[in-house]
Formats: sequence, structure tokens, C-alpha cells
Amino acid sequence: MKTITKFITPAIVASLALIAAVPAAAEHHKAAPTKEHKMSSKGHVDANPKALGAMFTLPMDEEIHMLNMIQLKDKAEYPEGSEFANKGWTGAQAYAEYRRHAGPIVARLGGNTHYTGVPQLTLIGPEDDKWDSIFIIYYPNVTVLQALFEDPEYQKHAFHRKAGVADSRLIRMVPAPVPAVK
Amino acid sequence: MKIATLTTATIVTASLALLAAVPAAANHHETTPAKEHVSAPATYINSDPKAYAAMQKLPTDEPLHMLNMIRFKDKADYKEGSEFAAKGWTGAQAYAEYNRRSSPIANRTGGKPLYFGMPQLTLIGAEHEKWDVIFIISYPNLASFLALVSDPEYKKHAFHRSAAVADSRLVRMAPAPVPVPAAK
Repeated sequence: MKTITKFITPAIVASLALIAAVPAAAEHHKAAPTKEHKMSSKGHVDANPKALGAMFTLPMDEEIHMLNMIQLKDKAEYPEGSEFANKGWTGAQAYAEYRRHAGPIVARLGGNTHYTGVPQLTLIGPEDDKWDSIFIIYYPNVTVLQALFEDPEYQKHAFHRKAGVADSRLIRMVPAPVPAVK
Repeated sequence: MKIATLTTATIVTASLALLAAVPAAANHHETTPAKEHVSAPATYINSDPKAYAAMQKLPTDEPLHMLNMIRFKDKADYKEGSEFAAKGWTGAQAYAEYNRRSSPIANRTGGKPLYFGMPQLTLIGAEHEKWDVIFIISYPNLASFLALVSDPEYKKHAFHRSAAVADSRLVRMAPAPVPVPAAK
């Protein structure tokens, strides 16, 4: 845990935060059942628990980049009875609410936004790969990411992500050098 | 950066600048039919001509960022009779060859490698989506990208990409500002 303390720099960046809903968050809010089976490339919203387990067998002390690809729902889907169910929010609004809560937590833990792009078109890939947002979040190490997932404040608000996201990808990467251009 | 912890091979692979295949490249070299049986997940190697047409309707004078996600074949898959067929190359080697040929052309037309990442694990996504390299190339405008993919020299060597790639994604993005620090 000393690694974490070392990286607590509240001023660090990141207002787009974003990560995976954690298993705990999943309990918090049951989304409409995924419409497709597992082989499908659609409808991925939560972290695969197997992958989440594998994650922590990877090196613990190296910097990681989490590539996020997000497709938003047209209309946010909150559980019936939620105070947000009647707001008539779009998926984008729900996701913005998620980021508003998660961003400062990520920043507090030492993560920041490394890259943000606005997807326009999938040239190679399934026709229904239609991303609304693609971004890369930097974490000084995986312990920080774990701390985020376990943060009670984060867990409390993770249901907004689920309400907003139609499909997503989350890929752990190690940053690599960009080749020099002559 | 903890680059020291990466193997040299990893870095070399990552440093390969890499681009997209174009429809022309598809004609140039037919990959062998995918070995998968009916229920196997679809893979994508060449650009969708429809998407390609749609791209030309997007702004032509804005910078674009191309997100590339690549999974290599274990063994390169060259056409029978190709001088490369007997080399016994891996997909990574064929891709390195593609890169060696295409990156100087990309540099000439204005493409610049912007970001490289080595994927380690897909936490959210289909289990069959496994990537070996992920990178972003920036182009100053659409003409710069099109100049690359229509370059005769590029087209001549694009078959190395088809020989190398098991699955890929190519997403055109507009660059967006990285958000300002959170207040809290």
C-alpha cells in the first residue's frame, strides 16, 4: 500500500475517468440482460471476472495504460425505482455523471488521462462497432487501479456507467516507445 | 517509463509503425480462407469498402488519428508460390516486413506514429478479441492518409499485411483535447 501513498497527488489530471465496472458494482445495479451470447462482440459492459483475476497476475509495479472504447446507449437505463430513472437522460448524460464522480477519484489515486479521441468511423472491424468515445488512462501501477475498483465512493457511483454504456472494451497495455520519424 | 522491463523483441515489434490495409491490398493478395468453422467469431483484416466510402464523406481537411489494433497470425500466410511462402516467417515477421516497407511511405505522405501500446489483457470485451499491438497514427488530413494507401509502392507491399494479420481493427478518430485536471 505504500506504492499508493506515493502516488496520491490530488492535483493530477483526469476528468474522464473510466474504468470497468467491478463485480461489486454489478451487484449494485442489474442492467437489462445482455442481448447476445458470449462470442458476440457486442454488449460488453462489465469486466470479465476471469480477466480481472488474470490482471493481478501481471506485473504489479509497472505503469499501465488502460484503453477504453465506449459505445453509449441512446437512452440511459436505470433500474426501476432509481431516482435517475425518471430523468430521461441519454446514455451520454449517464456516462458523464459516472465520469463526474469517478474522475476525481482516479486523479486522487494518481491516474490521469493520457489520450482522448473522438471516434468517427470503423474502417476495419464489425459493422456494428460504433464507438462514441475512445481514451487511454494512465495508472502508475495496477495497485492503483485495484484501489479505484475498491474505492467505496467509486463503487457507489459505478451504476451510472452501467446505465450509460451499451458496449465497451477495456484493454490493459504497457506503454511502448513511439518510433522516431525522420 | 518501465520500458526496461519489456523484452527487446517486444519493443521492436511495438516500434513497427503500422498502417491499414486498403481495398486495393485485398485484391493484391487473397488470404487463405479463414480456418474457422461456422460458429467461430468473425475476424477482420481488410477495410470494409462501404466504410471506406463513408470516410470520404467525413471532413477532408481535419487531422485524423487512426487507431490500429492488430493480432498476428502465428505463422505468416503467404500465397503458394510467393517467394515468401518458404521463409517460415511468423505473422509478426511478415508484419515487420510490411512495416519496413510502408512506414517510409507513411512518413513521406505526412503520417506520424503518435502512440504505441503493448496489449496485455482484455478486461472488457469478447474473449476472442486478443491484440498483439495497438497504436495510433496521425495524419494531417484525409489526403495524407489516401496518399499512403493509394501509393503504388505501398500497394505493392501490402500483401505482407494480409499475410501477417489474423484480426484487426482500424478506427478513424478526430483528436480531442485531453481533459483538464479534475477539481477535487
